[in-house]
Amino acid sequence: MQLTSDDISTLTLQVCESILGLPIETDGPSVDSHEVPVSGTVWITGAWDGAVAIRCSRGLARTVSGAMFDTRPDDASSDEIDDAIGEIANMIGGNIKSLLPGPSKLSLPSVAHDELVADRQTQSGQSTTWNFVVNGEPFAVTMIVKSGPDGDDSSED
Amino acid sequence: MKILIVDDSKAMRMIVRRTLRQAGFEDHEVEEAENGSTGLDKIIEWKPDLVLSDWNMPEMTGIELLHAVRGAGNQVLFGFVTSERATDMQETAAAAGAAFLITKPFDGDTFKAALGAVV
Repeated sequence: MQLTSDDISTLTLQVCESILGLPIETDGPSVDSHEVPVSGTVWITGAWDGAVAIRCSRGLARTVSGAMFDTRPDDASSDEIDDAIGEIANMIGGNIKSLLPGPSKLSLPSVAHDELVADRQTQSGQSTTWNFVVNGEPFAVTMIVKSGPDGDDSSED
Repeated sequence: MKILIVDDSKAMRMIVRRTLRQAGFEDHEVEEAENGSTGLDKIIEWKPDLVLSDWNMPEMTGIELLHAVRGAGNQVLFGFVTSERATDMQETAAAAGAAFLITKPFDGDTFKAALGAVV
């Protein structure tokens, strides 16, 4: 099955609206790496090999944590932020995985607060990024593909 | 009813609690476990009536937990709450004895529909 931009938009919308209750706009502008230093990444291995990473600002990471833990964003601890961002990556990555060739396995999420870590991941394969605006702040979903024998990246755009 | 939530994400455990309330399950006892291994200990100790488990967790995954529970002869009502929605995962869950699989993201109506059918 070929993954489309509409698929990515739809599932990202569902996560933001039903789990976070945050407003989201699709077709957001591209942003510089330093504007979205917080990343959550899951790796998919098997019939499809690659990763799904979400990236956001430190402020949005706090807002996401506050939404999930039902606390004020300013009160979010670093552990809570890692938990929340990791779980969002898990949800978006898991849903993307279901639309990719299988069988495959989904890793536990990892979270980083340094844009250089996310940049290195993005550069580790062929990547495609979808940009959104969540609660007025940039939010990016990136698929990083390790090319298979036939070079199929399983995404249309 | 005693409900055990098993998920390595504390945030998700809180969201599942909230969603249970939204779905009309607010008058039940709820306990939590952070992975399949502690979940298994809790099932033995606390004897829940319903287990809501994530799939991917450290120490012991949700499917490993279900196999361990059923292997011990425990027929506790067990359902998955997971981002894994692929058809083969759903078939694996059902074959292992899961009553339902709720995919993340979810809302109160999703929970009402899934739990209402089996509780």
